[in-house]
Amino acid sequence: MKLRLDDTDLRAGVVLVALGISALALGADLTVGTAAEMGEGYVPRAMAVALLSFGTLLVVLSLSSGTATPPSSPARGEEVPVRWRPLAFVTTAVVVFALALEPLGLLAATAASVVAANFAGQPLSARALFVLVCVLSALVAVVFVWALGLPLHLIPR
Amino acid sequence: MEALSSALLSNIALGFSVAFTPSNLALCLLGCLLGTVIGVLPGVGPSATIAMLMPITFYLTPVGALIMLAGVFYGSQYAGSTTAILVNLPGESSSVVTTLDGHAMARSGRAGAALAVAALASLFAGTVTTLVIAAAGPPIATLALLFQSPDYVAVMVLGLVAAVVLAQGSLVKALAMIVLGVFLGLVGTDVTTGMQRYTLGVNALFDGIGFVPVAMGLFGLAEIALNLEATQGQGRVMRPRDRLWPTSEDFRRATPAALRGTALGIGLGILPGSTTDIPAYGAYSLEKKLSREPSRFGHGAVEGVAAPEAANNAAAQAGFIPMLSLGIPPNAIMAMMVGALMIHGIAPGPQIIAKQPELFWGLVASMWLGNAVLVFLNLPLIWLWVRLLTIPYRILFPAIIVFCCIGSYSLKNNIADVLIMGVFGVIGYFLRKLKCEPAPLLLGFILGPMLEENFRRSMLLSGGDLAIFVTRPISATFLAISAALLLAVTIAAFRRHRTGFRF
Repeated sequence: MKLRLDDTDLRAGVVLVALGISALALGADLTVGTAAEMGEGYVPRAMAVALLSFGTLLVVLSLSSGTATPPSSPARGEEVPVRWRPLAFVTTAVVVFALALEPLGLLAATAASVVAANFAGQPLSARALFVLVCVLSALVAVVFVWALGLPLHLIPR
Repeated sequence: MEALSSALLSNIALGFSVAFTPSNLALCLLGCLLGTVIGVLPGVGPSATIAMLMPITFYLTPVGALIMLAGVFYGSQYAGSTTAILVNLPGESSSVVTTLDGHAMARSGRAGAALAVAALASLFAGTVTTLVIAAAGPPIATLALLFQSPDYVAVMVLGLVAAVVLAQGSLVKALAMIVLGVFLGLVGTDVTTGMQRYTLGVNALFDGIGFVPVAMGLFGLAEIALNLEATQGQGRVMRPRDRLWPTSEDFRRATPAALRGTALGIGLGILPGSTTDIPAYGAYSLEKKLSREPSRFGHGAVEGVAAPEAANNAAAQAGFIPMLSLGIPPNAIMAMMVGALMIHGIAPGPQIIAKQPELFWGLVASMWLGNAVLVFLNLPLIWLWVRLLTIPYRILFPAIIVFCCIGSYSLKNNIADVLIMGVFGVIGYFLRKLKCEPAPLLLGFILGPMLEENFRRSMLLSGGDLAIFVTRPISATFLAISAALLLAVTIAAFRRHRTGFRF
């Protein structure tokens, strides 16, 4: 019989064990206290132990159940192997926005973020990208700054 | 019986006499419109919308302010469901459940039907709840006074168990996600001891991790990355294929679901401290349990839209009882309503139903009015929201990212929240790759601090004896229901396990 492991169970288990251990390590200096008088570390430690136990359980279950484990209804996207580009550029777009907003203002942050985000998908033509940047910057300025009055500055102060 | 029905009639009449003036109707309409327009921007949820529009209401009369806010609330709430259905971006935690089947319906071209069902189920629930509050509000308010910390803990445990029952796939993973969520919810300064926990010396974490950046990261950003990845950067093309109006088959399936959702929403919503997400989750899992074909859920089952939308709305409205009688706002939105009341010099408390009946009943009536105005405003506009789908995803997703960034920044004008959202985008992406659901994590995250607080108080009360949870009848009942639910799914999982399914 061919041994088939659902290795997302195994991997999730390992991740949870790692999270549980780091939570215990990072919270080592928190006061646990007693049930009647809990310190700030009581519930977090209980959660860390629970993470560790669930992680171990997943590892054990996935290693012991040698039988086929067909995925129950798989949610979208999970069956595709990791491709770094979309995730990397979506995250870059957010980071760029965050870094640009205060020094450069909302318009520059929006433009930089849209340009970065564009690399996450199939890039638009330079002209289409330019139009998108202009339209979005205008929209953002009108909606958030003019209509809603959020305290954002449009251009560098 | 006669006394009851005459009390009901006079209360409702009082409420509507307060709410139904031309100027109040105009305020309600304006509130709905503004709430919808702003709330439909992806990444701007109902709480953000209400927070943004609240300053406008300072210049109105107390009743006028509340009516306008009720309009904003319904407009943005419905807009939250709209974005949940159209682009899988829940505006608020309670519309997370709506994404499951609502977005599945949209993907199969039935966005219009999903939007109509969501609106009608909400109106139905709002109407029934208004009647129930009018009939039974005051006596229930006294019952709610019996709740103590252990009972709150038990209610929250039930809510979390419902989230596990709801989760697709592995039971162990769902439990682990709840635990992870509770843990993340505890990051920040501990309210009791004042000590910092897991802040890693980062200033922005001293007040804890914000709900909005977490939700937008886990759901919005992760979804964009997954979408682009699965379609080679093209993005999903979602075209509404069939007619917009729901079919009679949809109505046949949705009506009993909306009824059960309403009942559950009222039942859970009157509990002080209850949120609107627990009823929504509960209603969804109930429908999934009762359905003859549970496999349809998650793939565009209309019951999966009607039940949580009804429950969510019923609970929000029933939540006025604890809010006004105990002064405990059940969620962030109600907290803002309390805030608006206090700005007008009205302190919520047990005396409000007796001493300011016109305010209490005016509020109940205006909530219903806001809901009704919304349906009449939005049903004709559904075609417009559906048209949003024809915008190519390559153009839409950079806009969504920018709106999400502005949304998380504007909460506290803090760059750190934008970066936290980015981190949770990455976390959400990998959780999905590991087949772990983000929804239970989010629920654990919201309930974590409340759970700890009440657990701590219960233990203080009992001197560290866990028996307090089973000796108090209210908490014992909720825990028994939770245990029965958990047992039922475990047994079901074991049965499937033998036939090749996983635990």
